[in-house]
Amino acid sequence: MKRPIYILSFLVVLIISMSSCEKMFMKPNPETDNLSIYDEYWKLLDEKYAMWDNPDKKLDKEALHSYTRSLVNESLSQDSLFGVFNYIIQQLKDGHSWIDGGKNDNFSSMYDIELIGDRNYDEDLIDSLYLKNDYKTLGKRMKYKLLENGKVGYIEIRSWTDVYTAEEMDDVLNYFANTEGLIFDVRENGGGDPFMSTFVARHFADKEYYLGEERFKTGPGENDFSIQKLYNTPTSGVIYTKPVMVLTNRLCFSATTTFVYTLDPLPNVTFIGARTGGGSGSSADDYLANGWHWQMSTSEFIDRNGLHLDNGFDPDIAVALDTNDRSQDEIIERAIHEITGI
Amino acid sequence: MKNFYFLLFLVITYSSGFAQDSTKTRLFTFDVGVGGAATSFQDVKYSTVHWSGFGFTPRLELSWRKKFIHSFGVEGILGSEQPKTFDGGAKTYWGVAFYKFLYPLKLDKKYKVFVGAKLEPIDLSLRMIDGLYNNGSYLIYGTNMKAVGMFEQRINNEWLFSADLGFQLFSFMNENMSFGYAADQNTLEDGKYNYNEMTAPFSFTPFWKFLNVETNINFHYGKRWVFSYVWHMQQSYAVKNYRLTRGYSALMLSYHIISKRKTPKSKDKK
Repeated sequence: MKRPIYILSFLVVLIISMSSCEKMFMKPNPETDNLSIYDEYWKLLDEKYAMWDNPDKKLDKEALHSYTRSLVNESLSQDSLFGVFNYIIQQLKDGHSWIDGGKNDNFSSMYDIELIGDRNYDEDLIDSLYLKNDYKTLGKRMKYKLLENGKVGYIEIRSWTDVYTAEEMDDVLNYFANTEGLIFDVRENGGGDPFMSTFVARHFADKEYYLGEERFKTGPGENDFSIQKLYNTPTSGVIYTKPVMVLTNRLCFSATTTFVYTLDPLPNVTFIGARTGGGSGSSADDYLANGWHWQMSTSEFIDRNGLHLDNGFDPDIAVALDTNDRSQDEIIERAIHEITGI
Repeated sequence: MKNFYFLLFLVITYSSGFAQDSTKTRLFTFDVGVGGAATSFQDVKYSTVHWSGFGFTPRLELSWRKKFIHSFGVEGILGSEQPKTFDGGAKTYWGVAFYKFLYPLKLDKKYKVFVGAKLEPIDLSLRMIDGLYNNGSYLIYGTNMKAVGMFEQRINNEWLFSADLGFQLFSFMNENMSFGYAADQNTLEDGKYNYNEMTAPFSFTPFWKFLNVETNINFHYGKRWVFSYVWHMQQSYAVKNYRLTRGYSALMLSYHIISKRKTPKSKDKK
């Protein structure tokens, strides 16, 4: 009877000694004092942020590091420490890169892409003058209808968070089969799934073409980027090759930038409205050791002409919305004119 | 990691020293097991914060023993984890389907030694972190092959002790979280990422990039009950020095729903 007791004792000792044994293979938990949190965040920026060399941002990484680290000490309050982080965020000028307090809602820092340019969008105007409660929908985000006695198709998508099937997109485009052209209104579309915005864009190409390259950060070194050569491949479904007017404003961002740069090379596509917001890169997010939630751009898109699109994309035809004139949406009217000549 | 492969070498070398024997006993069992596990996680690519928690561990195993041991089974963890340094949470799901083959090296009245292999055609884990966006879901999946050694010793008429140890040989393993984005590192490094189609589901992870170790210590009581301690750890890296480590320690109780033993005595007497 003694032997089982020995074995059981051995087992208990073994369990205690091996419990969470994998932690021996882990790096130690980080500290959460002010300097440690700053250093943790800066290391992430240093190793993962993909746009230090973006010529439009004119960033001096070493100077930014030197200056902001000098501001941090252990006597700083959490508010003040967050102020230092906010300073960094504003220097990056990148709507995909921000930080907030995680479960602590008191903190939030984001570069405001609306700071540059007017909004050029009035939802009430579109509803009252063009949609008039008489339109079709697909999912929660797409509204579409015929304008100008069926000559012009109008589609608005305010987010790329819906999932459309190939059959559903074919049905939408078949509805516009007899139009002279299409207006694609993506103003205020702040993004979503780039696979979905690309999926929609594939319905306007009749052959594969080159878009540019996305540079992903794949390692900690300054030059640890991988280059993804991006192409747009036509869908096997319905393809619309008549004139397409894409309406843009400053809040076209992220996956809408993907949509814009995917359609840009097409000769039948014209962009009308205002400069887009950018957000050309893909982003990653996680928590710092104190629970603050960070996100940053870890890739950057550079188009086929070598342009960095993170600060936006200028339309072919710049048109501003006259907020004093409630009789028309000048941007939609210009798009109709481009299609019908009227 | 080198220490583990050295240990594996020692186990195999030591086991190989036993002479082979044979048995005529046939044993067929079908087990249902449940237990609780303490889990751990760290992904240095993004943070060195340790996450740990608890989970429920179900297990089913069908085993057939004659000269060799064959077993098929599924096991998993349903749990949640919290970070050590702040208030947060993650839900964790880990499931493995396996086939294990063991070959007898030594069949003595007091103890038995087996060596063999364990194929895990499905090793799938999903980890969903509260409050995150692109990095909110870890998906790690693959097919693994392990070398396994097992020691078995009868303590008395009621109790039987067994312990086994398994080491990763190779794996087709894929992690959806690369150094900077929620996409497979190999796909990005190969320049094959695009928005027209999803990325390839599998990529080869050589054994030197993937440490996968498991131990099982079992006490079998009578014909039906097994008390087990399980330790399982995986460590891999897509970028050197930025390792992802996860593991669990589990206590389990299994019951042989079916336990059929047959010993052809007449033939033994010849």
